[in-house]
Amino acid sequence: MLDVVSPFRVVIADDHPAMRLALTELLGGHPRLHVVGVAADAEEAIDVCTSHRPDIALLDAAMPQGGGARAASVISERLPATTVICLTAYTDERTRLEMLRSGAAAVLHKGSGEDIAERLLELCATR
Amino acid sequence: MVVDEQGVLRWCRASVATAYGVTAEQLLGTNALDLLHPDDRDAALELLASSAAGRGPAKATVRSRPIDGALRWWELEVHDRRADPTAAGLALVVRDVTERQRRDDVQAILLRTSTALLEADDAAAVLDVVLHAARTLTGASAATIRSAGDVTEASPPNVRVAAAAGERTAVTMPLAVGTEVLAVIELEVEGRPDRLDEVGRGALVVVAHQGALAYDRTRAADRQQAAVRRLERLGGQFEQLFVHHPVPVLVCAAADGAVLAVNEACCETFRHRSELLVHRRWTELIDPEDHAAVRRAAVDGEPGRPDPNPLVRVHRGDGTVAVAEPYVRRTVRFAGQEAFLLLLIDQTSRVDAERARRRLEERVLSAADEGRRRLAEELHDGPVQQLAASAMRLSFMRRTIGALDERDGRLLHQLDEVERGLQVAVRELRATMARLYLPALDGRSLTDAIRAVPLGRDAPGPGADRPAPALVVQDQLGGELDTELSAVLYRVAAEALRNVAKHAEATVVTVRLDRVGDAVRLQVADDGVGVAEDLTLESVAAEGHIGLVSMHSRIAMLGGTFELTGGPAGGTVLTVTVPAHASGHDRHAGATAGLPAPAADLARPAVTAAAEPRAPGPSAA
Repeated sequence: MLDVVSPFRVVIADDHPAMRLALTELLGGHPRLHVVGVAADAEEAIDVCTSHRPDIALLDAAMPQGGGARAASVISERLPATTVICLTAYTDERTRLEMLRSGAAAVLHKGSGEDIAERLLELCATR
Repeated sequence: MVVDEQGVLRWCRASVATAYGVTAEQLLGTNALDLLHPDDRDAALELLASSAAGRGPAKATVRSRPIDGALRWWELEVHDRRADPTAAGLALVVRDVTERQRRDDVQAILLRTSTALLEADDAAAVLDVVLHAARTLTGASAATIRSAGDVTEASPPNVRVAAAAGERTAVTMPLAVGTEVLAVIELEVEGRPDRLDEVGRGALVVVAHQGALAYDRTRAADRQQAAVRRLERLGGQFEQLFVHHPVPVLVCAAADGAVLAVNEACCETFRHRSELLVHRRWTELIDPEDHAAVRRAAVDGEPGRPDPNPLVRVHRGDGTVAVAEPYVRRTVRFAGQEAFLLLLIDQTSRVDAERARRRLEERVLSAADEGRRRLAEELHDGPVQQLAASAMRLSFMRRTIGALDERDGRLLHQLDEVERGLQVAVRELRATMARLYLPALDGRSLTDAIRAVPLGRDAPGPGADRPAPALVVQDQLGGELDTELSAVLYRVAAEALRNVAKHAEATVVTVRLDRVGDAVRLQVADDGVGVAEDLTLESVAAEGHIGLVSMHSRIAMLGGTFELTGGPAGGTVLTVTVPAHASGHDRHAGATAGLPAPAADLARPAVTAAAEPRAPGPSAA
């Protein structure tokens, strides 16, 4: 059965090329997600989000140019309709709290085995 | 000049005659040798004879008769011009080399004077040498020595040359060290003040300076000698104790604390001149904040006690500060009065060495921290990202394949296994990162930070499936600690908790913070497998567990204690105690601060000392 709902538009920001590529391919291949932009640092993430106004901004926590926290706070303030989600390799409480305080709706862990695409859709559905 | 073989003048230049205040005509027919210093006539005559005998041109340096009250030095050169009809005699060429000669002379005098001053071993001999040099340099006809007590000049001591009545010059030569005038030599020189040229004045200044230093040295030696003689009267044992005692000793009057005598070690160690120390009070030598410590040493201090006295700061003569351990010994009468001995064992180099060691340790520890942080960052930025990305792709594959063909159980199983492996690798690396580098307190309270230490297991192998131990934090401090101390305790607690998580196989670990007297105590107790009985820091370090060793260093730096024991009901208990006010920077300088105000002055009269048994003094001994 065809899904009649238009896909969520996603911007991916991660400074590691392997992670960027994997996310772009995996999320881009999902029928309900559409990757509209990719960024490699916080500054670029802000620029790309500002011009594409995505439904979801998936931000790495540790990025150059101010880190995911700075990008998250700027994006969540400028684009209230965008759901900011943090994806990080750090599992400590401090990173989690910092990202949540900066406007992230959730913090997901890299390599945890969960289905990122499904998690994004879930998080968007609850907003 | 042209002369005959006997020196009789046949012709001369007008300038030669003018120098002697006569005309050339008046000189003709007189003997040119009469123009010379009588002592140098023979030398000049020999020169003429040598030239007349045809031995070629001859040269000599001779002195003139005083011209304008001063000798001039002439270089004479004789040429045989008897065959020359225009001269018809011996040509005597005169060159004035007074300046050159005088410089050489002055240098020779200065050299002789320096040597003589070095050899002079009492004040009188020094003055003798200076006087002799001054007279040689100025040709003074009269000289007097005045002692420093008669000197009233307020101007800075320096050699002064002034015209006195008539054709006389008064030269004042004070022998001074700094602004202190020790003696004054006054010279009376015939002739006008300009007679003493720059070279001569400079030489006088040098002689006065060298003389003053030598005078000062002999004076100090005289005083030391006198002190030794006084001590000798007190008996050999005391002399041994005092004069040649390797430890700096001050003998202080019980009445007012005045320093009556000091030994050689005291002068050397604290870079003071003995005569400047004597008659000052011991309280001027010791930092005011440390007077109470000295008074306490007076009450309790006996060398050889197990606990050393608190260190005190001693002001050195050169303005620097030494650190010494004070002891006070009651003693007998000294120079007719009640006195006590203040021994100051120099601990400066030990304290310096300890400070240097602490700085080095701090550097090593912070370098180790920095290294861990970098490694953690590199792990995060490199392999962790790569592995996480691969794990993510694999998850996707597994889900996709699973959806396509649920029957292919074997393939799915393999994918499951690979994915699980990747996830474990990522988890392990993450835990390693956390263990490598813990962020600082960052504004959190000590207990909050401790609660956030990750306790999950990161290594596979036996026990990897066991759940992480439960963490209980008991805060009985009743107040905040200073930031630096909190940071150290946090790192120690974190290291201990990581050890528990890795090795203890515990189910509960309790962290307790409380106070014991002035100290803060941290206890980390677990109910795990316990420690080997023969566990030592060395054996731990040898096994490569630098965490424990580094913990121990941090605590030692703060002057705390560190103990690892078995718990009463098994498990392990780590107990760390640190002084609550330890800053880790300058434990020694601060060690004597904050003592109660001095209740009794050391320098109280003997009568009072008797009434107050804890005060020093012979009657209290």
